[in-house]
Amino acid sequence: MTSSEMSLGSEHVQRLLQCAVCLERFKQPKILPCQHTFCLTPCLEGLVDRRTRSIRCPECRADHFVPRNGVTSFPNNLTVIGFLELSGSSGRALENMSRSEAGEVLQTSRIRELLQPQRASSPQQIPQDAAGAEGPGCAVCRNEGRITRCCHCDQLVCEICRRGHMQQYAIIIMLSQQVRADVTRMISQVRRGMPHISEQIIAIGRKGSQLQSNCESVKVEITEALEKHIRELKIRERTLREDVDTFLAGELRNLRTHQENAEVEIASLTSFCDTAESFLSTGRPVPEGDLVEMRGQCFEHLENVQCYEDGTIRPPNVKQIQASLESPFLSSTISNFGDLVITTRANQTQRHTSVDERLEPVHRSLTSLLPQGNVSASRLSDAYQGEVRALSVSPRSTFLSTLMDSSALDESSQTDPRTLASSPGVSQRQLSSPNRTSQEEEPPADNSRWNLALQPTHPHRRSRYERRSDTRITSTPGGRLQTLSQMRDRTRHLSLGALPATNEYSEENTPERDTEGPVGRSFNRPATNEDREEVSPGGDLSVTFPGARSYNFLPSTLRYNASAADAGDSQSDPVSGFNSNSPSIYVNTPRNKYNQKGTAVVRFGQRGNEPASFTWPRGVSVSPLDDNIYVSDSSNHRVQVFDNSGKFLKTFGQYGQSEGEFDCLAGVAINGLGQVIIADRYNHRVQVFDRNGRFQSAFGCEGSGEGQLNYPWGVACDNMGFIYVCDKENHRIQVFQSNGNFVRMFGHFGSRPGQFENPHYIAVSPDNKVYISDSSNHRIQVFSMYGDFLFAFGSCGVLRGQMKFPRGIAIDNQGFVVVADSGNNRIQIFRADGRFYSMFGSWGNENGQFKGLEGLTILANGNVVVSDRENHRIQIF
Amino acid sequence: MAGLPRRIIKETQRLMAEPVAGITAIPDEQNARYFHVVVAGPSQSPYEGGLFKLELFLPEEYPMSAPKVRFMTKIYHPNIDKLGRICLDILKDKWSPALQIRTVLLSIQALLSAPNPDDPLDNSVAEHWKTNEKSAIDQARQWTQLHAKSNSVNSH
Repeated sequence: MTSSEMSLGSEHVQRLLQCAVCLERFKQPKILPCQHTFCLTPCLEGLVDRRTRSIRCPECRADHFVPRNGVTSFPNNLTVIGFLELSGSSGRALENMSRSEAGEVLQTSRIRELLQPQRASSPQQIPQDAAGAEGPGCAVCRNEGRITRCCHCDQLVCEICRRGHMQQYAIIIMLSQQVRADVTRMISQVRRGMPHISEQIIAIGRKGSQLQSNCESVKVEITEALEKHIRELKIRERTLREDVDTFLAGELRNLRTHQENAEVEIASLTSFCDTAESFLSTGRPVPEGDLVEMRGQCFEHLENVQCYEDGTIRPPNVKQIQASLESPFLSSTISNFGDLVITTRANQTQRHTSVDERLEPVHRSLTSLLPQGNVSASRLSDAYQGEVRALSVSPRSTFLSTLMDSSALDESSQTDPRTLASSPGVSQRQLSSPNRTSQEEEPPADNSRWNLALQPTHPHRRSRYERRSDTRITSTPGGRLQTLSQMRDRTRHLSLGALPATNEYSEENTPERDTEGPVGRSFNRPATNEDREEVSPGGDLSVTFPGARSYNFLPSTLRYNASAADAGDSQSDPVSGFNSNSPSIYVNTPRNKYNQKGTAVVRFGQRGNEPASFTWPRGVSVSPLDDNIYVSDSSNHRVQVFDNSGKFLKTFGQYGQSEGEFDCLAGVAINGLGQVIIADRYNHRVQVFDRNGRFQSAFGCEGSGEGQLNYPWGVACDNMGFIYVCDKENHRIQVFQSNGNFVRMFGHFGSRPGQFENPHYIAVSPDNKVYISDSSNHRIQVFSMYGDFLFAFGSCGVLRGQMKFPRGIAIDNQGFVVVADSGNNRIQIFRADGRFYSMFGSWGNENGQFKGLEGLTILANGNVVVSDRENHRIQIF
Repeated sequence: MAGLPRRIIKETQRLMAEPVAGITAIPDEQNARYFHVVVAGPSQSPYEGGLFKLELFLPEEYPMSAPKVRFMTKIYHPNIDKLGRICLDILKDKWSPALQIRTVLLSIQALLSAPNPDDPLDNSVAEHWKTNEKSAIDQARQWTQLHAKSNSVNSH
């Protein structure tokens, strides 16, 4: 290598270390997915299209999606950083390197000379030139001709180079003037921008006054509405009083008539008696005919009098009048009259007003019942922790009893189930906001919360919200589920007595075949809403919970019972021991209709690193809060979130070892609080993110000790929030508290019961049984939550019920176990006790076909989400 | 260096130090973002022998947005209109911050070699080009003679 090649080489390296956008040496070089590198600021940041959150590579014009945290999330170009550090000391290191490589020792000044032409063209090095030009020669060409000193920079320059030198300086001086002008201009820009902030202040003030006027108008509305009703009541009062008056007048008139009649009677009798007596007392002879006539008249009068005497004629009956003013229904209506809706739900309120006015209060009380019902339920779970006995009483809250009025009940059963379903959902959403703000004390981030902060809050409602939020937080969903299922079980037990303890059925049981015998039918039938209501006196509770969770209540009992009776070895299950003597109830037919599955209803994703594309998707999980699907996009080192119809929502995470970064993540699970738990496989740790994808905590490190992990794969959460991790290469399961504290571990390498070989995925049933896909042993093992082995099912093979390298596992709300039989490229469904139920899928890339299966999960509507690894897509069945 | 980006300084330096053949670009003495450009008509094109004067202005957002370039010398070209505005994708939606003044001017030079009447800016010229290319090229040559010979550049 000659010296000129060397200098050229270093010059080339300098060029390579130059950002194409700013033409400077790279500062924080970031590499785009198209492999082109640019400075982080301002080059890449200035390129982001904020509207589409995309960035177009200046070199190749490829469009890239900007990660959630902005361009900083693009990986650093470590090679370039290395070179920058290498040539950091003004290229000297590089020169030294090339010199030693060349094996010849050259004078530094000689190298300088060789570098000179390139240096002159590089303005950033002008000061260096000036500093380095100590010799007597020209600073530019090193010739010792007619040297003069530059008046600007005190540099010695020869006549020949002077013109170019001066030109450079002219530009530089001009540029510094430009800078001055720019600074002035930008200051004025800043000043111009300030009014926006004051506008904002005014806007906030305006919003405050809007809020006040809103509240005022609501108050006026309340008064007006109530005054209207008071007026109506007054009118009613007057009407009733007038009715009483009319009645009184009529009756009095009637009585007076009777009185007058009697008086007339007396008068006529008196006059007759007087006349007759005086006639007789005169002593004059009375003609015979007259006497006879008088006697006849006497008889008549006697009869009349006798009528009065013996009660044939009586004084008229006095009618009594009573005002029935007691109406418990009305008073409860009044006490629950009115409702304050915090978010804007115009259509809802319209629906209210359209209803017959008489029914309106019922509707209102119903809507208020719905959240109230929730309260009583969560109260249940609290009660459960202390006093189990009280359970059957507590749901009958006074609130419910006031509404046991038949009309209210009719109304509730007639109401469109969707309205019922939506109402708690809506309230749930409303509630979650204050709940979050109070619990996490985050600044308002999204619109709904902002609205809520601005909207008026009725003190009474408010307190109710708080109560609810508290219970929601303190009691995990699991607690609630357990208690409810328990309660339900009790009620069944009481109301229905013993049932047959065994029931025969074949694998191909269909809904029709299930209906054997009247008793069996009502239990074998897939539980519907009617069932729940007619079976349990607490049925109204299940109506109260039409939200996403409601499906868990009844089925968990059913499923438990099925396993208790069917699986002989679980009779002494310590977890659900309270159930072991209860009558067995079978679920033969899953509500999810697995035998009709096999064609994907939704498919999405293909190979790639763009949003909604995957590179080996692995774990999938469904958020219990919003039914969103979380996919761990393993080799893109990120989590992608979709709604339950497969629409891309967001992504978070990138490659790396620091907080919130992944290296080939695998399992993902979401607990009842919406926290996302992710097995960061190659980093040998588990990371926890909040529902918005913000990093919260991480635990675990590589190793085989307690709490140490070795390629963790599947993760799962139980109802209490414990985190179960498949510690794959340690062939064991570890259990952690939600804060990452180690709780226990079970299993070790082997193929005997309770031993594992590469456990991949894990699922916890709502009654806290732990199902693990013991992949290399080709079986599913079931443990109690304490790690006691219960039973196992499956063996290596292709027949029904056999499996090869099972991976993803999920359990539906009836206890059916869905297994991703990866080696056979099919999904198998088992009953809770491990008996085969049905299967679907084959190898291929068509609809309903798979190439290597990973995680799976079940949506609230019972659809199965499957991660189809080698096809880089998600299928929903 | 918030005002004039270093990038502009560097580009200017490089343009001065390593000029491109057939192109000169000199910054205005008052405004460092404004360049007086002269592009020589490429050989084997109707513009051969002509010296075309252009103005080039680097907007505030440069290099995030494209420089504004306009022909000052009249030119008969289907992609350049009477006002000297240029229809060139890299000056519009295909702009990339990795492009430079140098590359832009080279592209313009290339555009002179390869007129594209299918993507016209001046419809009458493009029509002429499509219907009778030979006559259009003659016209372009005449205009070059008329407007783009060195004396007219100097007098402009």
